[in-house]
Amino acid sequence: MSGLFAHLAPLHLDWGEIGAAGLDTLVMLAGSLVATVIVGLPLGVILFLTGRGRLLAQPAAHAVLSMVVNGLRSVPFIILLILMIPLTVLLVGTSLGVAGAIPPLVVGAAPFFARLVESALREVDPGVVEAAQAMGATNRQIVFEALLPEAMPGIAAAVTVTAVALVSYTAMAGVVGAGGLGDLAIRFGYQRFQTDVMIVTVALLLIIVQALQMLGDRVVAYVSHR
Amino acid sequence: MPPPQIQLIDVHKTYASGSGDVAAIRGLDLSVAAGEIFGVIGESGAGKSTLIRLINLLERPTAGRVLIDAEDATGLSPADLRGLRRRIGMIFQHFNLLSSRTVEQNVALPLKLEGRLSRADIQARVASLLQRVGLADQARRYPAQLSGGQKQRVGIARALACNPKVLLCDEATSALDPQTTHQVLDLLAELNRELGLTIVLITHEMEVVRQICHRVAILDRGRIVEQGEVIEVFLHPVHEVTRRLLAERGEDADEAALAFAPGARVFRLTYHGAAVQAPLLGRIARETGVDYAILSGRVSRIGEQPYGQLTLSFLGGDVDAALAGFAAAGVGVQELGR
Repeated sequence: MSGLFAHLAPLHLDWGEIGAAGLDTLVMLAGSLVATVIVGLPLGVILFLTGRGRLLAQPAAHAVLSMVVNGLRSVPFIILLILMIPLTVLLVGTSLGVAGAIPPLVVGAAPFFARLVESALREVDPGVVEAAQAMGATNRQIVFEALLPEAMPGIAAAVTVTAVALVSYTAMAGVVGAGGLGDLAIRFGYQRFQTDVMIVTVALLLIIVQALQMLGDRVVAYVSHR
Repeated sequence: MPPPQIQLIDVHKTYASGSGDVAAIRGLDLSVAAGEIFGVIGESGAGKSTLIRLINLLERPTAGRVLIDAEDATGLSPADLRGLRRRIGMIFQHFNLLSSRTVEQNVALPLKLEGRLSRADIQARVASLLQRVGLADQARRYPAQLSGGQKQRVGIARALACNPKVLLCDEATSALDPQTTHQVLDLLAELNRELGLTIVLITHEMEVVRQICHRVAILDRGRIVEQGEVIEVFLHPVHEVTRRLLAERGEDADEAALAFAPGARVFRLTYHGAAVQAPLLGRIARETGVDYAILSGRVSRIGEQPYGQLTLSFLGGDVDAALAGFAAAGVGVQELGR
């Protein structure tokens, strides 16, 4: 009565599988979030600096970059997952599983995160940049000693929003066999009418999102001295 | 005579805008000597904030030269320009402190950027700077926890971190209440006296100029229309804009005085220095048989100098002899309403 039938029993949840799926979700989330910040933060800084009237104003470069970012953001994630397959194979050697999900997650989230970083930098008082210039700061010093520290509350909030968005993206990663809680909810909860699995997975996702938001809010409060 | 510390020669600054070019500074000459407090006053839109930013080249002139210690700053390499900027401190109307850093970290920032001193030396320097501006007990607080006056003191300490010869003040007291303004200006005057710091300040408030400046220039639509010793410019304003700025703080009560004495000859006597203490009015009235009524007047100080300004109407007697008597005593006389 175990194995196949255990999954069908309506009130007998396979906690082992749910646990594994939860772990998959967390691994995807952590891996893609770190990579998104590594790619998206410099991208956001460049978007900001090349903007009109900014430190390294480059209208043409800014326009091109801005178009690429908008283009990537306009592709629905489920389609990006499939379009990315050749590139994903090139990057991580497989288009399947948790590893295969991370590159499309990053490509989907990094442009979004970069925009959030750009707008966090725009919130920084231009007077602070001017003061740094008047002190004889180099452009690099202005970015690392003035702009980024001043934008830190905004950037921490941007990481939080991005992490929450990534949780919902991971639910679609089942398309490439990445597993995770969202995948479990679709395959068992929806396709096999196991309402209890649906409820449990959604509840777990909710807990993850809540926890991320609370953690993010605490970090924002910690780095904010306004 | 040593060369001026700051010299602007035929400087122009034009901004490109959507609807054509806008000239902010139009052919401006200015020279500031080492150790003086030089005020630039003007109405909003006169070009004050552009002018002060031309001195440390936060704004690049469209034409003309900017000499700092007789060296042309417009031709400097980016690295040399950064070096020059370390020798010129700047404070701002809205303080422009980093909210993410504590008071001591803000003051340490220019030293950290300069990268010359060790961490321990920076700490010692910051402590002495905070002592200097009276904020030694606030070192660990964040700017958001400070009052406006305290924030500007942090700004001053930060501006002085690299031992500059020149301090630029961009409307440094305009966001402060009158009492705090007074204290901050006192601190600036003290730094000028004790460190020999050259200060250039821009403001729209005559009161600021009156309290601490040695010389003043009046800026109007990108040009300097009048400049000189503060006491001269205040007591004998020539240009219409200067008169208007003085009138705003009630320095110019002529219109009211004239209304008191219809038909009489009304004169304004302006005097400073020794004449303030001399019993001139009574003596000259006795000698010339002139009788007088005081319509308005004030005796006050400009910087350290006492001055007096009286508006009188003269009745009977030998008015011309009285006027000659005043002139001989070094009193400026101006007839009003003619």
